[in-house]
Amino acid sequence: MSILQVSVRAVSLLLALGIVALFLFPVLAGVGSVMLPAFGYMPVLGFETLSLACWQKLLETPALIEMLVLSLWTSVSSTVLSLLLAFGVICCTWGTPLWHKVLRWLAPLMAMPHVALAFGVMFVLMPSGLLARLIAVFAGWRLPPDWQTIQDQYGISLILILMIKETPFLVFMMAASVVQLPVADTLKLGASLGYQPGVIWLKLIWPRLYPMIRLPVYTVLAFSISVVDVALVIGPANPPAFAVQIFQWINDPDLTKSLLAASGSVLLLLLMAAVIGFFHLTQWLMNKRLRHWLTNGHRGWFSTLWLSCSTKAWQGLLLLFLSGGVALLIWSFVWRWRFPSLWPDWSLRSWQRAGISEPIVNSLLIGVTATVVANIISVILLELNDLQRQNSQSAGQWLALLIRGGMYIPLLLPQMTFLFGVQLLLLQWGAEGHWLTVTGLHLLFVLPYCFLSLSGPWQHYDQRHSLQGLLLSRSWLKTFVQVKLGILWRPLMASLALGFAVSIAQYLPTLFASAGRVATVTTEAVSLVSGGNRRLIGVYGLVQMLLPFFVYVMASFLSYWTIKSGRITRRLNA
Amino acid sequence: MSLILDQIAITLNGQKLLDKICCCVAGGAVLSVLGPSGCGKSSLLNLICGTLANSFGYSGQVILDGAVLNNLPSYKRQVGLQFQDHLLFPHMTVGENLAFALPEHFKKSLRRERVEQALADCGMSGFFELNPAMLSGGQKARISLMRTLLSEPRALLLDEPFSKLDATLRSSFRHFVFQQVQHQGIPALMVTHDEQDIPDQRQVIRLQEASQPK
Repeated sequence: MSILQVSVRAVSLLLALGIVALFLFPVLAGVGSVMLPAFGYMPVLGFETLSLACWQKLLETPALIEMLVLSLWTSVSSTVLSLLLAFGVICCTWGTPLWHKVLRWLAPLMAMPHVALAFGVMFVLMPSGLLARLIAVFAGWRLPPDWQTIQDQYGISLILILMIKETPFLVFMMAASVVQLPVADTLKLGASLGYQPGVIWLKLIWPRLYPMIRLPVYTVLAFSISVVDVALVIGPANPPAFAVQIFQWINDPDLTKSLLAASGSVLLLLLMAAVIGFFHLTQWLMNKRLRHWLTNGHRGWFSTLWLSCSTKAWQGLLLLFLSGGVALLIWSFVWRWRFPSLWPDWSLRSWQRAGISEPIVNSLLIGVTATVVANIISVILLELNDLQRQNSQSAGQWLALLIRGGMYIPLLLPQMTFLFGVQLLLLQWGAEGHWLTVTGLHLLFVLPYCFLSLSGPWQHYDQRHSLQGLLLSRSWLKTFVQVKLGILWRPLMASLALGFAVSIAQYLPTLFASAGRVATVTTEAVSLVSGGNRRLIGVYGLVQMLLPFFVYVMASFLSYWTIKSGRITRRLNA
Repeated sequence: MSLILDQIAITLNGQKLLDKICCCVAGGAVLSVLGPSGCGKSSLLNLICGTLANSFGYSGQVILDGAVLNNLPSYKRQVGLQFQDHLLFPHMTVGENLAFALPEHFKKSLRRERVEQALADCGMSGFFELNPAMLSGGQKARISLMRTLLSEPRALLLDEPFSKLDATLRSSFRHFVFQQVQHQGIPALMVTHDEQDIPDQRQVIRLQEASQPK
């Protein structure tokens, strides 16, 4: 190996590690800076000695156990149900014409922000919602039924929303992983041994698929356990989920509650670690205990039932998703809508009074900046990794593992824990309240999604195309832009759309970094919950839903148009 | 036991891939299907085991022991399939790979015994707890065949079973396969493009690219 090769390898390695370290700095600093206040040390407020007093106060909080149990129950059950459903969808549709339809639906489903979805489903399921109005036509109701279909004390509606939102993400991750397994041959082989398709998936494919999607499952778990915005909209209020309680302590005018919030954030982190540990242990135990089940010869009578249940549940979720969108659209134009009438009186007044232009501009500015920067960084990291891999296969693999691991860290930590720490740091530095700070914080969540969505296509890219381009054009830059980016244009556009959707959905990062001075569509929408103005909620929910949808359509059009019109090939020939 | 292919024709996008194949394979015999790539050999196997993709059309009947298989789902046909890639399940040990194939009626105590016996039959006693990744190519091939046979199939389909083995292994494994087919007394249909693999020159169907058999 020449000196030049060694130095290129070292520089690319250092650069990649530097970027990852820079990316992780706010996350780790955030966790670090919440630790001291968690143990009573917060000089700004006059607390200058370490003590366990705030932990004692935390443990004395009324209904603490109920809040923790609620958080555990909603997060674990929504994750497990999403996982089961996503796997069921893969089993039912893989290799059928329906498979491509499911894949087509994934992008718009993932682009829908959680809060908009929660608003939409709330308008469908609430006692005076679309569903109740439809039933009222047949049942002859004159008043809304006395049902607690949203904000129920068991968190069922919260679980439902998390499930609708997380299932497409898990299907997406499974679809990306399942192509690496010999599924078609395994299905044929299993069938020739007498096994039904559902059982083949469970006994032969699942044990190999799960380790590949373990991290995405943990990110779903982390999100569900620390979710605040959706829980504020549709979750139980008394007692609320633990993350919501911490959020309320942070916003309490009594500043000493900040110490309580810090202790709570650390407790949430411990809870998250315990749940991940529990998932890991369960998987290990199942590996040990279910080995007999794998080889007991049961060919499976339940297979058909399970597969048909999954299909029905998926269709049900899609229906709820679509009807939620319709409900938002209707409410944004409602002037008056008495129960049980199916047809409202229409008006444009909500749109005129919404004052939504500033939040839209802010959302676009932050979303576009964060997405473009995230994609540039992702491409740089992937290129550095490719460079490393060309020099040494094993070094490339290690670096890939390291970068990937680093990208997962902000997704695996409860948002509340490290964002509260970041807020404390921003306060100290006087850096809060600027849109650039908000963008920087959004980047912590946008970058991992962009990187993960691009890493698959980058990995499958055939380097011989670049080699051929280099031999013809003799320019690295020309080859990279016209050949590599040309071939990977479609995934790049998809990553842009995904990144923007992730940015639009961010609530806590915006709130913590902006100090209330940068209003986005999401922060405004959530703040409307307490007011209960359904018309305004309809307007904000609809805009929040449509913004990423428009970007998704634009990205699809751009990728289609660029390839169809031959712009890349024309440039190549120029 | 016998496997009958009655007037089997397969089309793809309206084009004939196979045209009216008729043959009968008796128990213990091996019918070889010979031909170049793309002539429809694998499609024929897929049709027999019930995994032919919807984009293909077909006519004719597949009859096994007097019963027509056409409308049966693949998992009910009891037709064993041996791939050129041995496809041992990496999350199971060698013994578990074999136990997986055993029919349900074997009780827990008998399963281990039956698997140990199968391992002994293929000269691999003591391999039960081993990870399949630690086996050589020839050992993988033998375990894969034993796994198929342990599921008690009524017919065996071999999809170029020797193509990934080197010359020495190929010869010994070929001998092992034909011996097992004879021992089990089941009809077997083997797809290959190597003349040397054919055990009986009287039992051969030669296919040409997208055309009729000679």
